Amino acid sequence: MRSSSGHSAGGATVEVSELGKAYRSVVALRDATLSIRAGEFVSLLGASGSGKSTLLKLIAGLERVTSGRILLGGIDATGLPSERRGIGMVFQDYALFPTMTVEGNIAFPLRTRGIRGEDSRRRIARVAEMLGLEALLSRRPSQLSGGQQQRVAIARAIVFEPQILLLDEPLSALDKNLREQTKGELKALHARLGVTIVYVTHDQSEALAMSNRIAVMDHGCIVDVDTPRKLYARPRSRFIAQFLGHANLLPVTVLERSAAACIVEFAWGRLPIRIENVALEPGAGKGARGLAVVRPEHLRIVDATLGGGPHCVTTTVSQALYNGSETIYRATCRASGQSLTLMDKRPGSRSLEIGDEVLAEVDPAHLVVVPDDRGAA
Amino acid sequence: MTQALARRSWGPSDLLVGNASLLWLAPGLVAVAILFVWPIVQLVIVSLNVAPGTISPYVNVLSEPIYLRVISNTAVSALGTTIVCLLIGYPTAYAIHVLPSPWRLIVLSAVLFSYAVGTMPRAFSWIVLLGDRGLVNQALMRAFDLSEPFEMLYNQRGVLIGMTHVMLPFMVLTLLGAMARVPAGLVPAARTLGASAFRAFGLVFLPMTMPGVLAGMMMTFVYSLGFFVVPAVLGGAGQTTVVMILRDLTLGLGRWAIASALSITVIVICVFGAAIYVSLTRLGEIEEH
Repeated sequence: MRSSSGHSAGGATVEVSELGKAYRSVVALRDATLSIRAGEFVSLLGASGSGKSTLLKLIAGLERVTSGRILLGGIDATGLPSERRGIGMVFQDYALFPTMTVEGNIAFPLRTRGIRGEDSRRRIARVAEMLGLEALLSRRPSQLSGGQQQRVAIARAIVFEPQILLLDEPLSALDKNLREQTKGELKALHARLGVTIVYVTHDQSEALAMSNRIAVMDHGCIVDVDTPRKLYARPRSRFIAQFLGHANLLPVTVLERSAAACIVEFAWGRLPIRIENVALEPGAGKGARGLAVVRPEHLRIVDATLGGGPHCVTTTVSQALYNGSETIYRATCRASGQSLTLMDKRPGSRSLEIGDEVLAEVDPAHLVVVPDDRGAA
Repeated sequence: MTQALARRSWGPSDLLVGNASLLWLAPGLVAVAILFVWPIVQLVIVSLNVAPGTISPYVNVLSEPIYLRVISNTAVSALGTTIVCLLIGYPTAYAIHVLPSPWRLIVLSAVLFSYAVGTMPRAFSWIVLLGDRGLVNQALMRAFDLSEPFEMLYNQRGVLIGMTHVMLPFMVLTLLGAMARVPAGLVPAARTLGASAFRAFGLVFLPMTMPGVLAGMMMTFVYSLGFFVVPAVLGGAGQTTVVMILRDLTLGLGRWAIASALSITVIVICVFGAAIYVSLTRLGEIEEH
C-alpha cells in the first residue's frame, strides 16, 4: 500500500489480541488487546514497570510472546523474527552503530534489504534533508549531540519507508526545550509520512500532545484506550483521573439519578452532573458513593467578599506556587477539611496570601464522577 | 589575590592533580628501569663489546642459517598459536558472553581454572594425552579405524596444541572484555532494521569487538615468542625456538656476545613488527574510541 508520492509510505494496522508476556514467574504483560488503525499515532503511556516497553518489544519482535497474537498489516506476525516485520524502531538510547558514519547508519536498513547504489543514495539524501542531517553524513555518532543522534536514529528508522514506526521514549534523553520542539517535529513527520506510530512514553504531556489515541498502562495491563481529550476531560476511572494531569478527588454520594443527569452531594452542597460525565455503574443509584473529579483549572477563584453561589466552595489558602504563566494554590475546604488544588491562569490577577479565605467556583459542566475503586484490582 | 594564592598551603590533594600525578608513576618507572631497561642496555653492551679484529656477532647471527631458522621457527609457532587461539577463543568468548548468568560464571571459571596449573605440568600432561598410544590417538584410531597413530608429539602440531592451551585464556579474557563493552541494544536494533541474526553479528557485533581481536592477537603473538617449556617438551628438533637456542648459547656454551646479539635482533624485529601492526590496524585509534 505504498503511495507513489514519495514522501508518504502510508501506514499499516497493528492489532494485538490477548497478548501476554511472562519472564519466568513475573508477568510483565497480561491480556493486552489493542487495535491500531493504519496511519494512527497511538501512545502507550504508563509508569516504569507498567508493561509499555514490553508491549512495544513484543510488537517489534525483540521478545518472544508468551500468549496471544500480533497482526501487522493484517498478517500474523506473532512468530516472525524482527527483521521480517517491516517495522522501523527508534530506541531510547538511539542504538546508533558507533563503527559506522551517520550515512552508514542510515544506509544500514537499505543494505540489509539489498538496496544499493543510486537508489540508496537518493533515499538517504531525502531523509537527511527531511531531518536536517545533510551536513552531518560523514560524522561518527560519537561526534553528534543528543538531538542530532536522535534525528539520525529517526532517519535510520524511516529511510526504508516502513509502514509501522515504533518509538521507545525517544525524547527522554533530550533537554526540556529540545523536547518541546521535537514534539512538534514528530507530529509533523507523522502527518508527512502517514506511517502508523506506536509511541512509548511515561510523559503524559508527550502522549497528550502528539497522539490520536492513548493506551494507558498499569501493572502489565492496558487500563483504558481513548483520545487524549476524552481521557483527560472525561476519565472513566480514578486511576486515569489521577494519572493524567492533576485531579481534585472529592467524595460524593448520589442523591438522584435520571436519564439526563445525576444529582450528587458534596461535603458543602449538592450539584447536578450530566449523565455522560458519570462513570459509575448503571446500577449505582441513590446512595451510591463515588469521587467527583475536578481539574484545578476548573476551580475558578472568586472574590470571597462578593459572596458565593451554589457552586462555590469556601476554602483557605495554605500554599501558593507561582509558575510564570499560572499560579497554583493549595487550599483547604472549610466544610470537609480536604486539601484542594486551584489554578489561577489569569495573568496579572492579584495574588492570594496564605491564610486568605477564597471562594472556588466549581464548573458543573466539567464535573466528572468516577467509582471510588481504591483498593480494587 | 596574590595573598590568597600565597596562603594556600601544600596539601595531600596536590598529589592527585597535574604534574604531581607523575609521582605516582615513580615506583613503576624505577622498577622498569632496573628490571627491564638496564638489562637490555647490558645486552647491547655485551653484543658490541668484541675484541678488535673479530667478526661482529650481529654478522654471525644474520649470516648463520641456524639462527634465522630458529627465529622463523619461533615466529611460525607464535603466529600459528595466535590464529588457533582466535579461532577457538572468539566462539568461546561469544558463548560465555551470551550465556545466562549462572552458566556464564561456570564456563568462565573453567577457562580461568587452567591458569591455576603451571605451564610445566600442563606440557607434560599433553605427552600422556598426545602420545602414539595416548588417549587422543586411541580414541582417533578407534573412531576412524586408523592403523597408524596420528603423530602429535615432538612436532609442530604438539607445540601448537600446547601453546594454544596456555594462551587461550588470555585470548578469551581479552575478547570477553571487548564484547562486554558492546552496548546491549545494538544487535536488537540491527535486527529491527532488517538484519538476520547472522548479518547483525557480522555487520554490527564483530566490528565492535575488533579492537579486542587486534589486541588479543597482538598479546598472544608477542607472548608466544618467548615460549620455552612447551616447544622444549612437546616439539622436536625442528621446533627449536629462540629461547631454547639462547639457553644453549649462554648456559651451555658461554657464548654471551652472540646470544646478546641474537636477543637484540629479535627485540628489534618485535618492536618493528608491533609498530607496523599497530599502524596497519589503527589499533591505537580504535582504543581511543
